[in-house]
Amino acid sequence: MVATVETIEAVEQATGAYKYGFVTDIETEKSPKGLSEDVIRFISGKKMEPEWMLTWRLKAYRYWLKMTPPDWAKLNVPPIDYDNIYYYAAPKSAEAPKSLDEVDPELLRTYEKLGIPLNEQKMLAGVAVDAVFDSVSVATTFREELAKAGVIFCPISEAIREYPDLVRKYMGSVVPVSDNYFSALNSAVFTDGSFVYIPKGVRCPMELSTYFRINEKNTGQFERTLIIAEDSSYVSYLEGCTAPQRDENQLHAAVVELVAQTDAEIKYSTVQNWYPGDETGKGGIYNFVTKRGACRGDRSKISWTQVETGSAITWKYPSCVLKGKDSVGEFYSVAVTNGAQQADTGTKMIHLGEGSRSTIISKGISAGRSNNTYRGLVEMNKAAENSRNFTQCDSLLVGDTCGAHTVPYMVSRNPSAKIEHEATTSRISEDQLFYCLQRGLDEEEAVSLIVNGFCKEVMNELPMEFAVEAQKLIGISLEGSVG
Amino acid sequence: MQPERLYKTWADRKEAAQSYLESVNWPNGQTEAWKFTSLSHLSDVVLNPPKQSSSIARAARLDGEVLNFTAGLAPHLAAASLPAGIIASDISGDKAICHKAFALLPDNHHLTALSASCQTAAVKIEIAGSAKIDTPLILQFTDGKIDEASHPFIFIDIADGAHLHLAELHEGASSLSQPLILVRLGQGSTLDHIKLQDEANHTTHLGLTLFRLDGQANVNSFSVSKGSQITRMETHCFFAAPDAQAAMSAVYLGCDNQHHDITTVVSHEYADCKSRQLIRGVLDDKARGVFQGRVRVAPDAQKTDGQQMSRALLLSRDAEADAKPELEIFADDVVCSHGATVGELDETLLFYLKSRGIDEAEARTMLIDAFLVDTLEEISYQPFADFLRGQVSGWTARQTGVE
Repeated sequence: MVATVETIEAVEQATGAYKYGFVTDIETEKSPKGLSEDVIRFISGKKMEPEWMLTWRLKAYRYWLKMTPPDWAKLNVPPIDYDNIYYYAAPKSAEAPKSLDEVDPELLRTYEKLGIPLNEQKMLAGVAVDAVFDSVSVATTFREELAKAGVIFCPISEAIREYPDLVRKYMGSVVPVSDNYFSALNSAVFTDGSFVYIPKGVRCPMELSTYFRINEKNTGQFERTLIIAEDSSYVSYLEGCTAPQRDENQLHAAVVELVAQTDAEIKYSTVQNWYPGDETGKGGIYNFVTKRGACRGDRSKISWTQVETGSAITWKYPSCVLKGKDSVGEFYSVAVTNGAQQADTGTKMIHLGEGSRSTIISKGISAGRSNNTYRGLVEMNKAAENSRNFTQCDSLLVGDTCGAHTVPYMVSRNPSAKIEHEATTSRISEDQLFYCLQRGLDEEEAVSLIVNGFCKEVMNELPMEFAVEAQKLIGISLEGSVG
Repeated sequence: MQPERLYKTWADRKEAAQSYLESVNWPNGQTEAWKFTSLSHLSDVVLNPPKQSSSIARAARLDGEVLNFTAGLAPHLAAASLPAGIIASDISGDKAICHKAFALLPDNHHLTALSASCQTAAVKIEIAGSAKIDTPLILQFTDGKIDEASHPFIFIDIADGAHLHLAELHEGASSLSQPLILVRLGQGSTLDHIKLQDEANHTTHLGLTLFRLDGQANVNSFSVSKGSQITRMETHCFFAAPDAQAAMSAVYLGCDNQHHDITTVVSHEYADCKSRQLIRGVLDDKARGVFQGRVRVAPDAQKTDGQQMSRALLLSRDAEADAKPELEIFADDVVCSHGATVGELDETLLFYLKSRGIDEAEARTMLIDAFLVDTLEEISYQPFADFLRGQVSGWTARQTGVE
């Protein structure tokens, strides 16, 4: 019930304007506008990358030039001018800060406004934040404690220099350079992101967390995250993001790769709350993300949980390649769209190994004039003996001007594998609303309460800190959708 | 639906269709609508229009009034003795009617364009409202040669309050068989419809049947796909007024290296309409089965009830079943759901039957039959149900070796 009260408070606080809409003035160092081999060389040079990395980027760029953007999603994407984007913008500071005291105070104030517990985090239970401001990681904490456990948690640019063998071995092995249009673009121009390595037998002592933040105007953000969990290790990774209000559309094309070896488990949670644009969708973020995890080892497990409330356009399918015997893939998703938002999101479960299992629970909530599509693939391959999948997609419509769509794909090449899919579409019933109103809640509180109930199965999967924020977000996102 | 103003005349439409086909060639997996079924093999097939031959009257496997389309060519309608209330006319020369009919078909659709461009026959069948027609009307498609393509177009116009039993029997042998059947159901009219695809094993069958329903109209349709090499069988239902109902079920039976694609599109454009679909597939040997079902609910189509359930049974290690059920919903006061499963025969049930002394083959036959039988119960017209039951059981018995 506490969370509900907080949701109500959050809804009251929000006065129509986007809560996290502000721009911080910090000088940034930019690459020239547009994309060319020279810009890629510039980025690679700035990052002091080894030669192999530059070669890799250029290879990706050459693939990208030959590719076309995907057009199968139920999305109306205005043409993107790739030559009108800054591909590199880093906060200007002479040296990388060694502790929080060295971090630009303006930056810290931004985090404070966002409510990121960067300063207070030491009091918060075991959250280490690798904060990404624009494209460069500026502060990483709890390094020492993690180092004691043998865990590597650092910006990927640093990992490329410090742990080239690991990065070379795994980067691009889950999402190949030529996988899709946006992943190829990311591979060519990615500026930073996180690198996590959990050694054999280690249970990561805390939940790892990165807050992404897009700040500089016209800066496409191209994050690259790589998480490797060796045999019998465990890690829970939290990703959350907000972005300031602005006028021009911003492209975000991140790539996340997860590798789980034998008996390893990776739990990846996301709360996405980027600027959705104004009532017409103008100015919002384009979130075109490729996330994929490989369950390479036997009995390995990858679990994706996402709460998607922001962005003008979302194109995102966190996937699992279940190669190991008895490996497990999970996808829990809540996607809320309001105003003129468009979301086409879901997952892919590629079953390759014997006895692999996957669960998909997707909850889509559409309001305003938005369109919300679940699109998911379940593929049982020849060797996926006795594999199982269960998929449940529920859509909730708030109002009669929005759209809720479900597009599952099922491919079965093994008779002993079982695929089950269920989908329903409904709206908030008059009875439910009436009951809440009769108890003294106003209509918006009632909707927030009912919607949070509708999403409960997914919310339960979120780590505690995130669950509270996510509940608030859902309340705020649906604001103005009733009455 | 296609706005008529796009093409002012039939010639415009035909020209647009031709240039479209030239630009896209045969669809393959790159096109979302043809993700699971590629037609690129047709690039290598010689396709000629069918040659006129003396039509041999063939007895249909089902009792009724038969119109025989030999090799995709129109039957000799003057000679056909149709019961009172059924008027059939050749409209291949009547461009205005063809043009009007095609305006009711979906735009940007490969099969519509193919039909407009390559038509080998165009027949209009009118069903008068006052007539009481008890015998089923049977559209039978036979013959054809290995280098021929058949593209018959049949427009059936059912008057307000009329009733028709309609069977499509596809038993041709052309390399490409592409029948397009458009049925317009007037207010309060009813239609019992079945479609059996049992073409020669070298045929590519690309059938499209579209029902367009006026208010209170009711269609009960059932399709069985078991023949040909590659099949794409599309059934569309377009609710053009409130308060109509459609049941559109299908069974596909695949063996050897057959490919069966059942694609359905239900467009709820008005309020208070009901659609129901049950799809079952059984796949043996190296067969591949595809079910794609789209249910669209337009913004004003409140109180829509759209149900869909698809199940596939894999009998062999080399068979493949693909499904893509799709809900596209723009109205909030609706009840829509779809479900889909893929799996093999239940081992515990098989064991139970065997433990009662029933041998393996027979037990398997019983279970496959049971899997398919509840869909056949959807058929409301008994002679149709009996006929298709025979087709389905015959296939099962042959596959399991219990004949």
